[in-house]
Amino acid sequence: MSESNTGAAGEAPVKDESAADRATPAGQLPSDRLPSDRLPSDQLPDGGLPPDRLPIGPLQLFISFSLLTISGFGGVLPFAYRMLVEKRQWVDKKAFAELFALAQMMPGPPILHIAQMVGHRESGWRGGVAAVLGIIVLPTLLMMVLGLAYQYFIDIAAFRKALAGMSAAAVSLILVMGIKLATAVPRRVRPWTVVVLAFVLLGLLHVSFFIVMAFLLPLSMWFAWKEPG
Amino acid sequence: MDAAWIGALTGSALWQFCAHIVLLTGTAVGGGMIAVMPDVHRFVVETNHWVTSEQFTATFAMAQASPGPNFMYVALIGWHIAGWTGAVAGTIAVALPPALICYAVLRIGSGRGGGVVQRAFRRGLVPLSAGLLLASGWVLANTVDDNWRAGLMTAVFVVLLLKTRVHPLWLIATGATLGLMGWV
Repeated sequence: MSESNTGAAGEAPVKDESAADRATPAGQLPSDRLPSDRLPSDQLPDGGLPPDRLPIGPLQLFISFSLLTISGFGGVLPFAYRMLVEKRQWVDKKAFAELFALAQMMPGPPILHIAQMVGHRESGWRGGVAAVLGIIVLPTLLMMVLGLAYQYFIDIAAFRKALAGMSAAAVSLILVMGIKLATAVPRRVRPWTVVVLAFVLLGLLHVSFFIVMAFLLPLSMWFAWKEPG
Repeated sequence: MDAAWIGALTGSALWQFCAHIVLLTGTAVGGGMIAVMPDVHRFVVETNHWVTSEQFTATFAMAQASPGPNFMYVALIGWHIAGWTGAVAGTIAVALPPALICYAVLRIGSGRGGGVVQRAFRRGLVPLSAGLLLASGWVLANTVDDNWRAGLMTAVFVVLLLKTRVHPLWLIATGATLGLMGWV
């Protein structure tokens, strides 16, 4: 890891998990070093696995990430930081920030990318697969149970009422994610043009997500490129 | 643009759903699967009528209230469309393409571009994600808060979440309780 890449750690984190900002530090981007098949010991920016520790096997990865995912209410990312950095110390703080930054740049849920990168570093592609399966298997089973519960209880008025109340609360979680992120947007015309355009196109005009992204992603990148600092 | 052409090749609702999710996941940079929620809503509720709007929001609330990643609501919608198979297919549609992309990145490395381009990319994502998430919240609010009491509850919870460190789960439980008492 070259030190030159750690300069702007104060950047606002982009997140898709509620409350992720409490525990997931905004990281600077990783260098060109990436976890690869774990032959050399310096794959991750933190210098790879400590020499005094054996790699974590796929089974252990699966179990650990399964435990992580079922303890994650309202998003798994903050809990991932607690488990990986503080509790098990598989990854140090800086490396986590870098994994987080890299995960955001790849399409798809960041937590999956973080799990896969950590697993991959420990046990190659098998480790990556085990970690990702750990994240998704139990929640998928849980969703099936919830689906069944919905099917059996939806005719009960009390259940429907409780769900309506829960839904109104769930909306507030999403709105707060957006508001918190919006406070991190620089108070300049161009970034806010992107915020407003995204909101109007997707939220008010119901334009297809693909069209919105095809138009706004390049625009936003171009604005960011032109912005000072 | 709705992956209908892919679905038309196979015909079934589940295939169309999965194809749509795969395409959405591929473009979901920044805001994650919450940001694509309005488009999922549009596709499964408005365009195809596979689930009702009420089912969709209830599904979303249930998934939010249970442990696991935020994107699991997709599996629950899959369950509504095609039962057990649908839930598994929904999860695969969300998880598999990103896993393949991540694997490719791990193998190839991210050396190209360099720090400046990557930093611009990250900076550019912040306003985009903010707008997308606000749009998601707005779309959801429009379907959920169909009376003033529900709207007021959402607004109060937003303030609570912003001003205090209350755990989101408490708010969901409070919402369920208030709902049970017939308040919304």
